Amino acid sequence: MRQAGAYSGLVSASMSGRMGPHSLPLARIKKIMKKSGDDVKMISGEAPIVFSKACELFIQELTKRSWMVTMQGKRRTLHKEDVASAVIATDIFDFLVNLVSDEPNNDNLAETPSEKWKHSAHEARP
Amino acid sequence: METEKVVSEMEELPKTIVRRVVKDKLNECSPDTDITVNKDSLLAFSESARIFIHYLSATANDICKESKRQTINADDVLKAIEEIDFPEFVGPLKASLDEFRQKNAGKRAVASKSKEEKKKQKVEDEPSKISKKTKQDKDSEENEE
Repeated sequence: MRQAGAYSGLVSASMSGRMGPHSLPLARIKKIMKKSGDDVKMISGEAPIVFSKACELFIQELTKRSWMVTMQGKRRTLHKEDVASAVIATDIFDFLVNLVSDEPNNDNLAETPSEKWKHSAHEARP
Repeated sequence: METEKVVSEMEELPKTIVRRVVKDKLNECSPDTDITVNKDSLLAFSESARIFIHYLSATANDICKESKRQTINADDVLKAIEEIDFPEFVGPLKASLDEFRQKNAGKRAVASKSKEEKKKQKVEDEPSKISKKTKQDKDSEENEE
């Protein structure tokens, strides 16, 4: 009689090992990129890879700054408000200001965050 | 409303990956304390990242257009990163891009190497055919004896 338990354990371990390194799915990134503007048509093979890493670095930076706010408040739970505070406090996160200021108002569903961003981006650019 | 939610979920980045990036960074920031991440804050991270991609895409697209090209390439994205005031990202991004290119080059090298080796063998075979023949003749002579 075969003991499938041990073998299946090995197989599943190797499978999870392969999925280990976290990188954002390139197809999803490409979709989001194309939604950023009607004239974004062609994207090279390497671009989503740079995007994936850039996104990771961005999330890390936002996490760090949000964590600093959490620590200042002597708390151990990172709240959405901490993220909002980090965004407001950091110049380079200005493009997110509209998102965080509108978050409590969930009834404003007609305007998608990307549209809100477009408005703020147009204002921000010289 | 529910259909809108589904559509927006399709455009979102995978929650598990966002969570992992956030958790890993928090562990780095405070290895001794266990920081809990609120569900709402995870959503905030995910949405922020999505808008970041939008913003970066649009900037890269503008740069690409200025160069009168149709396809956004990696260099456009790197220039865009600088333009949106994240110059500290450029170094690590170049490093991971180089790594990716090396991996691809490696694969291509393996493929082209095997092609080259086949070619070489062919070239070697042709002149050596003559020498082999003579060798074979010699061998056959020896065997006969």
